[in-house]
Amino acid sequence: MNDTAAVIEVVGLRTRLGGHWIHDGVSFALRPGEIVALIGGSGTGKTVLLNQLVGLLSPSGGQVKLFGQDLARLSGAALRTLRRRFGLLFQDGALFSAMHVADNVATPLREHMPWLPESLRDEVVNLKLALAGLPPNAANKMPSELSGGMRKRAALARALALEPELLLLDEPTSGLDPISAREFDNTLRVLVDSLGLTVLLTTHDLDSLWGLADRVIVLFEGKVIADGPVREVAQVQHKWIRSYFDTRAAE
Amino acid sequence: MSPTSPTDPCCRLEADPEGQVLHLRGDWTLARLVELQAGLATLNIDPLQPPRLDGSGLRMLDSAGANHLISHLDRLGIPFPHLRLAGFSAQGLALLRLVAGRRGVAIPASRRRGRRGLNQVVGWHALAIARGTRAGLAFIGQTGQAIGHLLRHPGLMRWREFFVQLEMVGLRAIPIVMLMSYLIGVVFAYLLGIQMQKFSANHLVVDGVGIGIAREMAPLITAVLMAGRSGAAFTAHLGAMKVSQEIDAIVTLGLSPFQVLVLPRLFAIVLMLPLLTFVADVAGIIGAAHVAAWNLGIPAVNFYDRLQDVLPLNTVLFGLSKTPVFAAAIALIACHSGFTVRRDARSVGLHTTSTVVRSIVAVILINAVFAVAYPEIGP
Repeated sequence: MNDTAAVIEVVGLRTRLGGHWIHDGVSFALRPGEIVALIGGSGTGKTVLLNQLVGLLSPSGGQVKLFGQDLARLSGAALRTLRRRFGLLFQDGALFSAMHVADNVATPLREHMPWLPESLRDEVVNLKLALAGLPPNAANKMPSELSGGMRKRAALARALALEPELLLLDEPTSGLDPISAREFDNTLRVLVDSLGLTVLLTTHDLDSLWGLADRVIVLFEGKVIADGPVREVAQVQHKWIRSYFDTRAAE
Repeated sequence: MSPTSPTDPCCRLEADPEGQVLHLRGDWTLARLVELQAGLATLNIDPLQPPRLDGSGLRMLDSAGANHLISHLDRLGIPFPHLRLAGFSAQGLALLRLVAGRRGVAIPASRRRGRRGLNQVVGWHALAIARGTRAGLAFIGQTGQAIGHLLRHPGLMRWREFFVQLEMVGLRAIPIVMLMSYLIGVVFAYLLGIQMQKFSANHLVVDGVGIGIAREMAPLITAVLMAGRSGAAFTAHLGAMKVSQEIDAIVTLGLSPFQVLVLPRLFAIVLMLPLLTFVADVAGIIGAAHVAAWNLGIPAVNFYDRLQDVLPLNTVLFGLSKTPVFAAAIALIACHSGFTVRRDARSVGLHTTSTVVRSIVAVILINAVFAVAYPEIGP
């Protein structure tokens, strides 16, 4: 594997939160064009890890590199430029509650591309809303008027607004009905294949895992206990991995 | 940003034996959308003879670029299925198909909410005021009902929350109340002293300061401070609880939000405001006494001696007796405002602002009513 080409590289990451080591030497890397799923039980620090990847939290130890740049050594301006290159979908959407859905999606465009005329901006916003699978009448609604699934799609539209190279998704399909969840997976697949996106997602959804992910990383007790294609990881003899995949087999 | 330079056009229309060919070149990306628009606009595409699309010169294509191309051709009357595509990479084709498939639903052009006319604005606000008044009265009624229920079932009293509020509302406000009132006393005595010195009636400062602080200044300043401090805290706290559905959870658990949240706050502030006002009385008079000693040549002993003679107990009690009414108004406005927060962050801010403004106005109005109703209290 060529290290310089890695989109995300995490080496020996350690995190201490509330007196516990949440991560104790987590290492992995993502190559361009991959869809990688991060799984693990509740409280294994998946969301914390995503927040560290985007520089919202700093790890207690270890190194996080995004597009080959060490996050800890970046200046504020460099981090801002870097942030244009990825989109993050928060677990509960984190839409701006005071703005319409359309304005939410337009905000990153307005901030980072102020020279874009309004007609073109609207065109992009409409496209992103459609790509995320939102019905047209959702554009004028306030986030508080939307269902959980709709909020998630609106948040995806916002994450896609700047044509990011890297998408970080925190449980994208939780709260979606199975049909919408598969639709979401398909959209993501096409976007990844056609735009060369790299995706890191955390999920509990086994269908997404089997249908979407190229690779799975399993976090358990602060360490990566498995890292590989779903088919291989599903065969690993480990009590958590066994019980995780067996819930599906039992159905 | 500038229109395409002639050396590097993003698209070119060429005629060949089979008709027109639209060559796409370079980056068709979000960052170059303006140039793409300008470039496409210069082309003279005949919708009756749809050109073939040649993507062999494309370096990059993203969804915004693909969408712009498809939309432009669509507006010219060439729908995507009628296009003949050649030279695109497999990725590019997949993207074009995805975009063309998804954007099929036309989003209405005027999707922003329209402006309201003057009549509508006036009517809307009048209705809002009427609704707000009705809801406010209902809230007072519900609070009264909750108090009645509490009197019949004293076991429902939330002592823990009550004592927490006593500390937040009362104890922690003492330093700021003392500081404010002391400074008001200093300024009041200083300005009054300048006037009184003209008539060589320095000792009358004591009369003015005593009555002024005990009757008006201390109750009003303390109540305004509490409206800003505790009123805002009540609204923000209840509003944030409302946003995270904690209030719904309280109701679902079979508890009354009035018993759990409103009454402890109401009782705490009604009990604490008179006590804080008394603290303010003392601090203000100390401030005035300091100025009298330093500037007006009235030793502290003489100041307090004269104060005993000219400040009747009735005046002090009158000042204190207004404050539970202020406190009740502040608590009711703040809690009601907190309960009516909608489920978004901006609403919490708006309601907190409105609590502070409305409770300060209410305090001043109530004070005016007291002043008119009891003009003859005192010496």
